[in-house]
Amino acid sequence: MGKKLAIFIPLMIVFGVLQTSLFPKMMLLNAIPNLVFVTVCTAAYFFGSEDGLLFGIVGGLILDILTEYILGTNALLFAVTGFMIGFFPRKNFWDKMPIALGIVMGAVFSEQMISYLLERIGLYLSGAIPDFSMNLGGVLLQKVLPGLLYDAIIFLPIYFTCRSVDRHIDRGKKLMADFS
Amino acid sequence: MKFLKSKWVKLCIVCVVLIGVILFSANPNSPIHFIYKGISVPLQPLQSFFSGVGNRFSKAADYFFHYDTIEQTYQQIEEENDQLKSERQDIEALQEENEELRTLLGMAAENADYDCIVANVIANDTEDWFTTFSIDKGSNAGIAISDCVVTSKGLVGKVVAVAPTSAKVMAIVQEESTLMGRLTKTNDLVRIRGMENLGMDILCKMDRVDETVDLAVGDQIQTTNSEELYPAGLVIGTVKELVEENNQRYALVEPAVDFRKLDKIMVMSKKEE
Repeated sequence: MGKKLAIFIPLMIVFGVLQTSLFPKMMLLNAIPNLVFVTVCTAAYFFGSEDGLLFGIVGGLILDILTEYILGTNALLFAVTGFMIGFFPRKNFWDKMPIALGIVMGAVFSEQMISYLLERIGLYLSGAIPDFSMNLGGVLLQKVLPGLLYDAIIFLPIYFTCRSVDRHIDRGKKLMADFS
Repeated sequence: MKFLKSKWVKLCIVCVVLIGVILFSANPNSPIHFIYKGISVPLQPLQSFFSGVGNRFSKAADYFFHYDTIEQTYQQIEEENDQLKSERQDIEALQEENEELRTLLGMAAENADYDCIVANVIANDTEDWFTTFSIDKGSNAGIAISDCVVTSKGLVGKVVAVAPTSAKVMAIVQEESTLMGRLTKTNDLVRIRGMENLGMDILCKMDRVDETVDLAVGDQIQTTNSEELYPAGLVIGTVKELVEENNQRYALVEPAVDFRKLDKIMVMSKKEE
């Protein structure tokens, strides 16, 4: 666990900085890649629900701190998502990249929709909008789908990074077992 | 305590704690803001660096994706610039003309004995193109032979032929031209003649300069009262070079008027008493 945290915490800090500073200037079709969230999801897919929960908390808090948003909002969302993704039994028959991509994209899609819903509820409750209305079609076409495309592109390097970390840890475990 | 090891219990605990944090930090005055803003401070230089990189990238991308628009705008600006330059040249020419006319007006007021008629140079002699030229006013405007012709800079010459709507002017640099002048510095009377101007310089000759005359390069020569044709005090030119040849002393005089750029002139016609 310590090794994973030592690798993923700096990685998520760097990704958080990039996501909040560099990528907003490099919008592709009005979307920004969700680097930290994709990392949390992919790591959770490889390392299970408990690690997913922890990575979710860490990644979400990093993003909350960097965006100076209400602390804990992203952390809660990421932690729950990481926890849920960790339940997919990858080690047995799900260890295929397209499946991982599908799972992570599904998570990104859900996160985007939930974020939009929460944002609308928040605006309505604070009185910023007079009545509760949602433009789901517009959000899907103009924000969520371009975001998914962007996230699918950045998923690949993150997937291979997580896989190599996972294999490295597995090798270490095997060596320890052989040694003992 | 075994139930605490359950994943779902861990999730519930995390959710409860995080909801507590959210509720706590939702208050803008909460002290938790100071804590996490303090944590974000070391990362701010990194954020601002990447933000700068992103800005540059964004500008480069803008240039790439909007090349046609930028090119079009550039062309448009270039056209506008050309138009403005042309307008500026026109304005400068008008200002120059205005200044010239004002000076001529001042000269006309100073010489109340003369009728002053402003005219434009319309044609130059094909052979002596800067020494003899035609103007667009003639006897209909009151111009007569031997009337004095000036610009704001000084003496040009005199009218040598008149038609009803035009007149011919002989410049002081014409070989046939002779007039008396006075050195501004010493008041000595001198004679100014036109001369053959084959080179780039257009000059007059001050001949028969007496030994006693204190003459130096740069001295100014003006018209004098002794010359009935011209009003006194008009600048003829300045001494450019002193020459001694065959025991004779003379000077080359550079006229005050630039004969190559003559455009607007004023004819001073003596009023009949």
